[in-house]
Amino acid sequence: MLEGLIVAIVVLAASAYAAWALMPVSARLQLARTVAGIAGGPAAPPWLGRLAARLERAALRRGGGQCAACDARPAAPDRRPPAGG
Amino acid sequence: MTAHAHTLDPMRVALVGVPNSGKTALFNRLTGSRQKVANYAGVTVERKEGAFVGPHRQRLYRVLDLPGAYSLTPTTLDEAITRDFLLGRLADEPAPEFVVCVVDATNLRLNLRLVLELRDLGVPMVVALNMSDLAESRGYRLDHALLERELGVPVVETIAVEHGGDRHLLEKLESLPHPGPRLPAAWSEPSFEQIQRTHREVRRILQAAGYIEPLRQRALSRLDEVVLHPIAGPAILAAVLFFVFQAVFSWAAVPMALIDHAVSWTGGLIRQSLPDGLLRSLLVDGVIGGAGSVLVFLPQILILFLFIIALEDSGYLPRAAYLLDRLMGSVGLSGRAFIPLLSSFACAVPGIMATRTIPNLRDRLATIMIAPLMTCSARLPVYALIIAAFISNRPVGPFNLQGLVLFTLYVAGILAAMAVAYLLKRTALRTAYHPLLLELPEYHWPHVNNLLIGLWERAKVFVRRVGTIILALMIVLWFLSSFPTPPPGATGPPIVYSFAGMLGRALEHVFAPLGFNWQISLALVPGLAAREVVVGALGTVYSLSTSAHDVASTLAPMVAQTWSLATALSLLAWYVFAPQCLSTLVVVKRESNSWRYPLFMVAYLFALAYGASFITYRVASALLG
Repeated sequence: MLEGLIVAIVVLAASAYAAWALMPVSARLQLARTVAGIAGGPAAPPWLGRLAARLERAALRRGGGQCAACDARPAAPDRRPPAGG
Repeated sequence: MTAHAHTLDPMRVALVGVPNSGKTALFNRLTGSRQKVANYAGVTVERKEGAFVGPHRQRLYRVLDLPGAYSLTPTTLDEAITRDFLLGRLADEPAPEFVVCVVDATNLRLNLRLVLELRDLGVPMVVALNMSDLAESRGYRLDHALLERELGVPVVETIAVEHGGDRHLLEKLESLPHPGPRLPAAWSEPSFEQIQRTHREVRRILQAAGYIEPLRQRALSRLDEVVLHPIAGPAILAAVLFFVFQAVFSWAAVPMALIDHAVSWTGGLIRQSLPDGLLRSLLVDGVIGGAGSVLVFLPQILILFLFIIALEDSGYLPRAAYLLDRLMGSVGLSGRAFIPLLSSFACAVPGIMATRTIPNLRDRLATIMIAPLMTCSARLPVYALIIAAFISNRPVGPFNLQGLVLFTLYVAGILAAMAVAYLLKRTALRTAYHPLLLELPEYHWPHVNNLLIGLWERAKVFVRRVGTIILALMIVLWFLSSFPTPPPGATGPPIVYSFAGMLGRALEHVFAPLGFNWQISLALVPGLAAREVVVGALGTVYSLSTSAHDVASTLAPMVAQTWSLATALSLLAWYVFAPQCLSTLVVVKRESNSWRYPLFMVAYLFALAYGASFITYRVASALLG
């Protein structure tokens, strides 16, 4: 029973993370704002507000339309003083 | 601006020079914080204006820092603005009354063409020999008086980055009479012969002025004569790339074996520690079998990037760009496409973003469309798995057969990109060819620190990727491969009855003509999120399909047993063209501001991949039996 519960939690968390990471930034922001709207309700618990704020920050971070492997340094043809100068 | 009483008419001075000549540093030295930054009318080229008062005659100088230009024949918008400003062709911008042409004293050959063109315009001018201290310390020899005589315009030394480094220039400006307003100048674009004549004149002037480059510089010039030679250059480039791909396989063997053992040991430990059940299956088949089998390829990725960083640091990559410009021009691509395409070997996303440097929209779209055909690093684990499983590790002459195959796959991607570019540039995206103008940096020994930092960053990115999105997808795939459980009395492996098994069987109908079994067909789906996930997905699927204990370490032998060589070659062909990962498609949409281009990209890449795999499979099956 406990084993099944642990596995269910891990699978749900992985699914949520994968969906979030692959979502475009605009969709993530939309989702974060929806949560923020719910958190703004009178009966909403305080942790929901904190979660909404975290989601909004995370939505703007790398992911979605970007790619975690994509900070590879593009070849720099010149490393002399700044261009234009 | 100060409140001094200015006894003379203000003088409009333009600072002109090739990029990186230290022009902006000199502008800052002259004007300090008295600057106004705006744009030239109607364009996004920065206009920087400042002012200062001459120390002796109290004359007010209004100074404009013009965009860098190699000559008056523009190849960029920046250069066009500079030319038009100097000729007095810009609306609301009278021609400058005086020009200070800033030249880099350590690179006179490149800088003097612009000086001669300005002199021929008849603009009152002084040449500021900037970085003269650096030139002297590096061993450059030049007789300034002779240079001044040969050019026929005043020449002064400046050190823009040093306090008081503008002293000689200020003295010269103050000593000159006000030239008075200038009318727009007549100018026509020089012919090829005229440009050649100007270059000959540059060489003559430098010789007459006793210009001697240091021994090291002369040796490097000789080296460039070989490296950039039309025949020797491409041969050297091919040899360098060849060596890189050989090393990716031969150098990585030991560290890969170590990671492999560590992954297997961890799997064994979990198997011994946990009773048979869901959690053990999740950890062993999903996490270790999936993410673990991707982690094994870390050494190969690091070796590839070791060479990329070293080649970049050494100054060789811009030379490779120069060599390949002719090839790119022959298919109609802009020379500026080289850097975005080179970046795409790491990942198509930064490559596509780097196309912003291409001013022509059609050139840019053509580059975006072919960027995914450059073999990104995420494809390396897929190639490496199949090559290790099917290609024997034996020498072919001085080469290693596995490295040879990998090299061929990279070349196939490049050739496919060139072919697609050729078609696009002759149909929907036709434009004139714009040559690449590139200042070649000096050669350097790669800095060990740069190498180590670059590799560390790359390793972090890869491990983070394995530990986050790949791990998450493997867990989801494990769930889909484990549920629903087999019905009572089922005889096949449980995965056959799962969601993933059903999906794999459905997809098999589409991919069977390519020789793909249902496991491969299924693995292609999460591979859309990230290419290397295919390897992890195969690890998880095979782990659940068989009773083998260490799939992470036996994946290559397992696929070698279950696939035919024709299937393996077909999958390699698929991944040369494979439809892009989601991140790339989203970035294409964002950069093109339209869904038309990503949809076209998916369609043409899918058609190419399917066609290439189909032909490969059929031909290989016919030949191999």
